[in-house]
Amino acid sequence: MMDELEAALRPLSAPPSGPGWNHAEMTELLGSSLRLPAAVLVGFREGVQPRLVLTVRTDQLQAHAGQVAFPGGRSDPGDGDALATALRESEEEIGLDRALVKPLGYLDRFETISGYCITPVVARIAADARLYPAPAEVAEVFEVPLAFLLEPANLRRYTMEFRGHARPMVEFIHGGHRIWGATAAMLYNLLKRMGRT
Amino acid sequence: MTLRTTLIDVAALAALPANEVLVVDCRIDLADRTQGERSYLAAHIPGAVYADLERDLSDMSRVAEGLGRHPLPSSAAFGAVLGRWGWTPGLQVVCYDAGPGALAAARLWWLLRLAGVREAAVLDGGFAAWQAAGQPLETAVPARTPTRVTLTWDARQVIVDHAALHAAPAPLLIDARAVARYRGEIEPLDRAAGHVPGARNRPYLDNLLADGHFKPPAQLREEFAAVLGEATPDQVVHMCGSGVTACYNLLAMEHAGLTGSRLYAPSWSGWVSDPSRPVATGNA
Repeated sequence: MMDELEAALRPLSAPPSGPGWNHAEMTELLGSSLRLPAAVLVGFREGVQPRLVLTVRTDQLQAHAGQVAFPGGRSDPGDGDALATALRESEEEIGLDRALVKPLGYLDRFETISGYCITPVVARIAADARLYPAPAEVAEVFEVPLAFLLEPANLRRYTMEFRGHARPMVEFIHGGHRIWGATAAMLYNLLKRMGRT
Repeated sequence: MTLRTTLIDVAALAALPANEVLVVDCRIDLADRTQGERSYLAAHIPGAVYADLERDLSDMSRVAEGLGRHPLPSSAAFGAVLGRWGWTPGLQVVCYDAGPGALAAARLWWLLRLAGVREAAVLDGGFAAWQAAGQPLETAVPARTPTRVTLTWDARQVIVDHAALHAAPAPLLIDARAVARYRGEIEPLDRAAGHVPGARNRPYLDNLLADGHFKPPAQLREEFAAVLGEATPDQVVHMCGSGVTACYNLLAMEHAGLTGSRLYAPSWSGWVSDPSRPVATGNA
């Protein structure tokens, strides 16, 4: 499963640049204002059933409070590249030791309604990595089996009316967690690259 | 709903929508091998399928190989069982037996873990607690759409090689059998009485309160800390008579947040299958 996933990524040697795959749609909503660079970690814990590590953001955060999200955030001037941002944010948010992370490649960049252009970094996380959520930012860490995400029946499609346009959306419901919005869209991009949609 | 990965109580199970859970009745009477399935057919928790310890959760064809009284099934065989039940990745599984859950329910929970599946929980108090709460029962055997399931065992979670118990670095063995069997005062099932030298004793029933429910995590943590001494949870290897009730101690440790312990699947029945292996008696 992980081999198939790895083969579908943009290679580590060629980090994506430029606008996101949904740039045209976001331009309708945001205009051509500058997008701020950000990065997230799409990390899969290794094992006989690889599992995607996700967070629930605390209700106190200004942006995306209470939502399911990848670890990650805005790029700092000190970050050399998107990979550095993803590793730093993962350390800060879920206490993930970067020595236990093996980057595999990238997904296509994605633009958010909040004005970011996100570079998703896909990585393996060591099977026995311990995670320590930062109480101020992360309410909960949970894991979703990759096999669950690959099961076509679990990809739910719906449309959302937004500023007069019906927009196709996707989501996953795993246990009590609703994975939607930007997070679901980036996973959809992964499935698409794997030829699984 | 929140996914349960160790225990689930009756109220939480009762509140789960039927399409979001796979309930498995694991009742077994070791003295009367057909009683468990007959009990299931007479009345079970609504929607439950039935798992037979020997047919579905063991490979009895390998009993002569020194792997203990309940040899592990192959991952392919166990995958076929899950497929028959219509299991899909991410689905909440709830296992129960007559109560408290220390027999085949804990074994099924652990087999799922061995396959890397975390979305599984044992019903705290088992069938007895469900009945006592006045929850509904049914007799119908559910028709579930079969799925194709491919599994791989996680070799890091299990020890089947007897020599590994005393190879460096030696794990800390915790034996879940009753005190009298551990000491070697009685042995109702196996060819020799006593325990594996170096093993410590934690009878699986010690995980329960007087009312048959699990002790709270903080209490379990304290009690296991006393058993573990200097050892860390990942150095612990559980055993019992045949690799079934030992899963209950493993469940107790996971519930207490002491994660990463393993199972010596052949357990006592496998250890004594070779008379040349050493046997200790008494309290240590």
